Order: sequence, then C-alpha cells, then structure tokens
Amino acid sequence: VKFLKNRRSLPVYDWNASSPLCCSSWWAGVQMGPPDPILGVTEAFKRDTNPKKMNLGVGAYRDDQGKPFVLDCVRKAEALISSKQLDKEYLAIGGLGDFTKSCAQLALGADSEVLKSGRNITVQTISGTGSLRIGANFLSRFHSASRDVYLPTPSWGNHTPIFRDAGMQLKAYRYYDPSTCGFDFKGTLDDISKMPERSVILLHACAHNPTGVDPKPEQWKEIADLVKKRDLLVFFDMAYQGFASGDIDRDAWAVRHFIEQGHNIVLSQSFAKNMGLYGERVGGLTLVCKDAEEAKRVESQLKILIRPIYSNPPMNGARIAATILNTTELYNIWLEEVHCMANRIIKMREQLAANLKSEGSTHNWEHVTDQIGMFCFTGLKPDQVERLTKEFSVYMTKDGRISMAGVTSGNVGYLAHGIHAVTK
Amino acid sequence: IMSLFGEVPQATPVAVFKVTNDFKEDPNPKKVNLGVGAYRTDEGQPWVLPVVKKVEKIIVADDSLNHEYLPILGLPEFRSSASKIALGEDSPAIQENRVGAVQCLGGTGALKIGAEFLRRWYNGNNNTRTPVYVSAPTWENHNAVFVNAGFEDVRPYKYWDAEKRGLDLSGFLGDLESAPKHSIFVLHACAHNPTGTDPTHVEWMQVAEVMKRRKLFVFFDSAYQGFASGCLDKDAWAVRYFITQGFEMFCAQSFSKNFGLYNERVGNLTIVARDPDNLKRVLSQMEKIVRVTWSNPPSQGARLVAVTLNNPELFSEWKDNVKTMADRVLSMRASLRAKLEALETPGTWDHITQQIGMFSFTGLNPNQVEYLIKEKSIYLMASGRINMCGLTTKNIDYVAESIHESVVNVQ
Repeated sequence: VKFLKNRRSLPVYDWNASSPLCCSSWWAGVQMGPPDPILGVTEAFKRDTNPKKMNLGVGAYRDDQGKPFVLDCVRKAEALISSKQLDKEYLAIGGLGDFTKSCAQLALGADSEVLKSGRNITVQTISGTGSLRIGANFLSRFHSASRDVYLPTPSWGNHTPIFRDAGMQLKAYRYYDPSTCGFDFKGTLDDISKMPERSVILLHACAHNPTGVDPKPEQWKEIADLVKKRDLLVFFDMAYQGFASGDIDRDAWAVRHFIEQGHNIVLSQSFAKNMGLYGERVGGLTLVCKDAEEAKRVESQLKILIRPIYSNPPMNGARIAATILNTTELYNIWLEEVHCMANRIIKMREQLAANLKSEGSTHNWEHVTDQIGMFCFTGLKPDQVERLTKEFSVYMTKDGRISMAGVTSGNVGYLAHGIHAVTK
Repeated sequence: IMSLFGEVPQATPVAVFKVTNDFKEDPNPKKVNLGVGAYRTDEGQPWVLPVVKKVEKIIVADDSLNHEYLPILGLPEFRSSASKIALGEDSPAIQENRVGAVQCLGGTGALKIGAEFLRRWYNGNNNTRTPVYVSAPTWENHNAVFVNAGFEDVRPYKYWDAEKRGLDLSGFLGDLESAPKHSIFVLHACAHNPTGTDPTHVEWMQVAEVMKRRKLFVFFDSAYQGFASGCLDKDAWAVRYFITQGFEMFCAQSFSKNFGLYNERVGNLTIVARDPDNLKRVLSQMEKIVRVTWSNPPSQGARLVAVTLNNPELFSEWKDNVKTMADRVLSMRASLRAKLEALETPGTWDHITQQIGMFSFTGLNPNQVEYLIKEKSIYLMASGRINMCGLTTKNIDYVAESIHESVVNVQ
C-alpha cells in the first residue's frame, strides 16, 4: 500500500472511487424513529404563527406571564456557590453526599426511623428518568423473584420504555376511571389482589401524571395493606413533591405511610419541577433496606450499575439543591416558592372551571379542580384534541392531558372558550 | 420476612476510586496520589481553568438564562462546536452535513450511547454477538460499558508490548486482520490510557488500511484532546485522517480533562455518517436511547463549553490553559526520567518521555506497586500506571527515589 509522504494537507475522500465503503452506509437499515409524543407537541407549537397559541404539552412550570420561572432560592444558592470558588473534581459514583442525605430527608422526613438506622441507600441520579432507569436496572439484575412491573393505567409515557429497556415486563393495573375522570379505587384494589407475589408495583407518590388523580389518604391505607398482603415490591415515583398540595410533607404522606407500614420501598425523586432545576438533572434513588449492612451491599451494586452508564453524576444542580435544603433561610424561601407555584396552578384550575361554566358548558368539570398537580386529564377525546389544536392553536397531548402550568390568567378565558367549542 | 435483597452480594469497589480513597485515609504527610486521572497544579491542587472561572461569572450574571430542559440530544451550539473541535473547523464531512452529535454525560456517557446504538442497529438489528475489541490494556471501564450495553463478546486486541515498552504494532495489525468482519474496534484517539503510547501517523495509516479493507467499525475514544501534545489539531490527527479515508464512525469526546470540568459531565458523541439522510435516521434513534437513559443532558457544563468555543477570545484563552496543563505534564516527564537516570535505577526510562498524555505505564510490577503504596504511601494503579499530574516539583525527588528503591529491592 502506498503512503503519501510530505503531504501538506489531507486528501478529501472520493466517494465515487471504487472502494468497499463507497456504496452503502452502515446505517442503511436504521429506521426513522417516531417523534416523541410529548416533545413533538412543542415542536408543532413552535411552528404555529397564531399569536393566541398555547403550549399545554410538556410539564414545565410557567409563571403568570407564561415565562419559565427561576426560583429566587435557586438564584441565591447559585450566588452563594459562586462565591465559594469550589473545584470541579469528580463526585463519587453515588453523588454529592450533602445532596443525597438531604434528598432522603426531604422524602422520608427528618425523624424517619429509616434514616436513623441508616438502612436506606440514596444515590444521586440524572433527575427522575435517571433514577427510574437505575432502579429498573437494579431490579432487573437483583430482583430475580419477578420480571413484572405493574404500571397504573395510564402512566407517564416514558415509564414503559424505561422498564422495558431495562429488561422488565410491563403489566398494568386499573387506575383512572374515564367515566368519572377520577380514581378507579375498586379497579385498583381488584387488580392488586390478583398480582402475583413479589411483582413490582409502581405508584405515583402524588400528583399522578398524566391524570392528576391521587388516592385519598384512607384509600392509600387500604392500598398499602393489600400490597403488603400480596407481598409486592413497591416502587414509588415522586416527581412532584411540594407541587401537588403546596406542602412538602403532605405530598410525601403516602411514601412515609408505606414505610411505616413496613414496606421496604424503592423511591425515585426529581427536583426538576419543585426546584425548577429541569435542565440541571437533579434526582435521587433510594432503596429502603432491611438494615445498614444490606444497604451497604446494595450501594456497592448500584455503583457497579452506574459506572458503565455515566461514571458519576453532574455537580451543578445537586450542589444548588443541597445548598437550598441545608441552608435554613433558603429552605424557607423554597417552601414559600413551591407553595406559590402550587397555588397558582390551583387558582388556574378554579378559573378554568369557572370560565367553562360561564361559557355555558353543561358538562361536569369538577375533575378540573379535583385533580391535583401540574396536569389535568380533561376527558377530551382525540378528535376533540385535534380540533382544539387545529382551530384554536391549543397544543396538548392526544390523551387529553393539559399542563396547567401553561395556563395563565391572560389565556384561561381563551382556553375555556376553545374547550367549550369542541365539547358542546 | 426474607429481605428482597438478602441475596445481593457485596461488589468489589471500582479500583481507581479505591486508590484515591486509600490515599485520603493515609496519615503519612509524604503521601502522593498518582492514581486517578485528574490534573493537578504544581501545588498538587485541582485547577479550575481561568477561562472556566471567567465564563461561569458570565453565566451567573446573565439573568436571561434559565434552567429549562435541553433538547434530548443536548445544547445545539455545544454539539456542533464540540464536533468541530474533534474534526476541525473546515472538515469536509461537516461541510457535507453528514456530521451529527449527541451531548452526553462525559466521555463515559458518549461511549454508552454509542454502544447502545450499535447493539440495536449495527450489523443486523439487535446484534449482541458482534465482537467488540478494546486494547490490551485499556481504560478499565471500556469493557463494562460495552458488556452492559448488551454485547456478549468483548475482546482484547494486542496493543502494549510489555517487553519493549511500546506499541505491539504487528500484534495490533494481526488482530485487525483476524477479527471477524464488522467487528467494532475502540481506538484511543490520542494519549492512550493507560499506556500513554500512541501509534505514529504511519502506523495509524496502516491500521486504517486494514480496517477499511476488512469492514471494521471505528469507535474513537477521545478523552485527552489537547492534553497529549498541547495542540488540539495535532491530537486530532488520527480522527481526521480516518475521516479522509471515508469511514463512517463514532467519536466519544470528553471535556472532563481538557476543560477541567470533570464533575459537570460534559461529553459529546460525534457521529460521522455517509450522508445527511443516514445521519438523520441515526440521530432519531439516538434520541430514543437517550430518552430511556437520562431523558436530556445537564445544561451547565455544556453551556460553559459552548460559550467558550464560540467566542474567539475565550477560545484562545482556553487553548492557552490547555497548553499550560500539557506543558506541566511534559516537564514532569522530563524531570522524572532525568532523576531516575541520575539515580541509575536499573532498566531503561526513556518510555517516560516517549509516552504521551496524562499517564505513564511505568513497567513496575504488582509487587513493586504494592511496595510503593504500603511502604512509601505513593498511590498508583496495580498495573503500574501513574498519573503524571500527581507529580510536583516538591514531591518528584521523593517519588523518584521511592521508585528506585522499589525496583532495586522488590522483584
């Protein structure tokens, strides 16, 4: 083979020359992936030129001007951090200790027996998705008793592909009752009673996504009992602590109740919404173990799972969250701001329901105010959703879910008008 | 009740982090950490690049910035400028619109996403049996990344010749010739980890020739661009040469070392495809993989790098910072070699200055390594790999003398 010497510049490859590589690509067989159902909504919204357009697709909080909201406690935490001039050395595989400790405390409560006995292992993860994924990987590798994960119907769209990709089998349990736009308590209990022992059941801790329908505390108690009887492994997904009721402890009630009842749960937490840290990817994964010794073994295996994915987690968001959680003044500001965000959502729900009434709608819109958290399952059918989008430039997912965070006092009237128009 | 996790065994800790852990717990005031690959100043301190500090201030002061989700594939201005760093501003492949990228969590994340894609879409769908070749030796996490992505056959290719302390070219070429067609090869773009031994240009050309002829897949791991020679373009020679040879390939880039952004997890998987249409489909499938792994990547580090690379002044300042680091490493290499030769330590030590990048494969055997750790509180990897950045003008005499002792006293 001849090698050119003394070349001054590298030759440009000639695709037309006869060569084993010129004719086809390695990727000729790669199909075009379907657009993401949620993010595809935002793409379409961006292309729309209607000045009245509304993006009620993705679940990111917006203020009453429809703008992204950076929390004051976050800005203050950032200023504090900036003044410390910290280095950028790798975090441990399990993440920032200050963060994981306070993250667990936030979910479990400062006086939790679990924390005192050190029988939890909490690792920092890439927000909620990363937490679910590592948890799923862990179950896939170590929960040999069952491959089955039961998701509520419906659930967050990304739950299914995450667990499937991790090698678990997806099953479903009844949850949402379309006829009432509320909780199908009987259906849930019925389905749980039939789940094979040791199966994994995924529960939304609060502010169910996409329906906004949460069990009442009394209902949670019955669910906890039945789940214990069936000897199921509980996996809580808590992405909205603080966002549902505005109260951190109230929103964590179900999680804490299950633990008190003796369930050794798996718990995913996200700080994307409640701290507005979306793009910083801040989350936690907690496994409540039998004792501290078991927690150590589990921790060692979590590290083995994490290392070949991303080695160790990103610092910035965790540092911000830890600073807020561990600085009294900032923590108090945060509680207020979460409360405010939740309240604005609640107010928008009330205004939407009121506006629908004054539009003259005869439908029952109680679910709009009964449902809780960022999302509202309107009950709109796909063809009605399509009309709402085409005729009114209101963008939402096909299942009729709207993000209340995208509703403002400036556009709630328009939204009510549109919904009434397509449902009357 | 039996615990669900009763059977979970205690896993052995990741070696490189254990070394740092043991170092931290050692009370010996003379201790030296030559383990984990992070840059240190001559004071033995971590170094936040001056340009990074500058840009951080800019970001913190900018009220128009928020913490919204990035797109699934990452920050567009980061992805494109990062790919340009690897491929060159004027890369024909970029001009032909057949280069794309996925912002990932560090170099590890880029390898992971690339590996997951290959396992699903390369060489027939869902192909877990395609051999993946990693150099012998290689970064210890390469194996795990590909195994965890589902590849069943991860094998070594000959690379390091322990006897001559250099590249085993004929072994390397031989493994390329005998590898099953379509096998995947993980190549270190420069500053090979852990040996510090890179092929010469002519040797790279020979590698490329065999890979082209035998239809082997090129997966570059580029974690040290700029760090090897001090010059970004020089360090990217191999990657750019392969592109001129018409390869479709992946290049996993890390900005951990050359930007000192270790804990912000800034990485980029650069994809070079035959044409824009293939690229488009590949990126759409990359999105699916990212969505079930981390949904979208962290914004801080990528923003920082993008601002720097897209501003001529800051870019220039960054290149200077990189050269500062590379130069210090080079001076430590020269110094260590000189001292060992002055001590007349048995053996030859020119490999210390011939090797390139952060690491040196000293050639010390496990017993000698143990001696250094236990008797001298000098921490290094069992393979004999040392991180040159752990050396300073203040500790280099102690290290040289200790190495001398270990070679003389320990077989």
